[in-house]
Amino acid sequence: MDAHRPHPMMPESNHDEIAEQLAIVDMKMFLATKLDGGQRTLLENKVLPEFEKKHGREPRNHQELRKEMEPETAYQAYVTMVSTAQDMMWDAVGTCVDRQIDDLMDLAEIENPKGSVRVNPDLEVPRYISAQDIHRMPGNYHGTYGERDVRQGAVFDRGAVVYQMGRNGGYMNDIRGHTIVSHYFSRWPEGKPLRILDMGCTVGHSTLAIASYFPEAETHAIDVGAGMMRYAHARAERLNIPVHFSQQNAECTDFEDESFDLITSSAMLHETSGKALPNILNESHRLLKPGGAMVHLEVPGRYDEMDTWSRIRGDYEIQYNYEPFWKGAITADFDKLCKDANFNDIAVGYQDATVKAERGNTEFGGPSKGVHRSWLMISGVK
Amino acid sequence: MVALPGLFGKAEKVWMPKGRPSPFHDGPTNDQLMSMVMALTVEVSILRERLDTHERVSEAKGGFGTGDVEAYNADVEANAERSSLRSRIMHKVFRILRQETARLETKDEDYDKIMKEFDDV
Repeated sequence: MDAHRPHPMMPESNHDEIAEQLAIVDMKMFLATKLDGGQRTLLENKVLPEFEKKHGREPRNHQELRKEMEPETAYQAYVTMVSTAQDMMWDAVGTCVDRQIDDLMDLAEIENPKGSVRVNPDLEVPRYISAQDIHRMPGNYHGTYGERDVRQGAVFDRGAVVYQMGRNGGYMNDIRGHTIVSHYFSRWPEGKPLRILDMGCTVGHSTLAIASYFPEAETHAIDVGAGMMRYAHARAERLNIPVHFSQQNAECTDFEDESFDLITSSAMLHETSGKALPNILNESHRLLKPGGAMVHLEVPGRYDEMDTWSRIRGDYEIQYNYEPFWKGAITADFDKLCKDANFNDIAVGYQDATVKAERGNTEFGGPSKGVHRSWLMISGVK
Repeated sequence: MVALPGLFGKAEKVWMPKGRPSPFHDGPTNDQLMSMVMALTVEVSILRERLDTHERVSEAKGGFGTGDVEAYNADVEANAERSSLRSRIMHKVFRILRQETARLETKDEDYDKIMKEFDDV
């Protein structure tokens, strides 16, 4: 694996760009492992006792304590650093992509493709995506800057390596895809889908992992950005896995009724909204053949299991990492939502993260092992 | 998703995330300062890694390596030159602090008077 260009479509990084990206990974890791814990100490050893002394009662909710954290200089420094590191990450990757964007657009032209790409200039990007740049990524998932543009795909592909800090499968970022199939194999050990749809696929990190287990299947993947889809298609072709990408909204696709055996998504639902979530489950149901399965993967933390500091930290994600549906997704009653969408044989629980899915595995149903070690699975049958 | 064109063409664009501004300190100055310190930290990391690459590439090609660098002893002349290099960096980085106190050592002119003086001409 060559760090300069880890796969044939990935934007090339020179020596100093790689060093910059790695320094930012380390900075983010430093924040997450060394400074984050100190915030909990600050909260529990100083802010909480002072609150109780001042008000003569326990705090009613975490927001009351967050307000008392905000004047603390250690907290101020921490949140400034978290948001700055995020902006530095996108700047590091963005400048790297911008200097070679012409080459990347050329590289995205594929002769004799095995898959396909279909863009839709008339697609209305849902407001829950377009209202703010999710994860503070300038240009967001859907930004597109010309008819041949692939910028946001390239930025997201290289950026995800830094963002996930290697915990989601290094340069391929495909552990979530393997984990989705692992869940499918744990529930349906003999499953052989012939038509697969991956929703909210971005550059196809998970899509390609899923497709790799079912070479006889026809795999489709959708997302809302034209540039993102063009990049995803070129990436799949250059990695020699045929996938049919199209620019579509997962709430209302143009696929025919009962046209898929397996529908998946990877950490997509929490980037939607309270209104969109039931629509997506209904659309999944419409698109599945009778007996077909859906497997949606989501972030593992559940709100009711979180301590006060984690909830305050969550408020940061919502307000300043521009994740407006973060709390809604981790408090959603997925079992009920799936029932309302007429799914049967529903399962909601944790699946161990894996780099290789085995048929008949028993890695589903236990407690969460934590971020990037477990994923929440929401699955059901039509 | 605002892209501000920079001075040096497309590679120098300043990309802005679309979302609420994130001022965490009481005043924006500390946020800006923290941002600059972090950027500087990464720039220093890149430089340090480049030096490490020099040592490793040199050694791999039969030249000097990290061990030779560690074993190097600077002579008197080299130490003096290095001392002036270090002084220069101190001057550059802490100029703003020295400027604050230097201002106290001189008597400021009456700048309003000066403005008026030129304005009257």
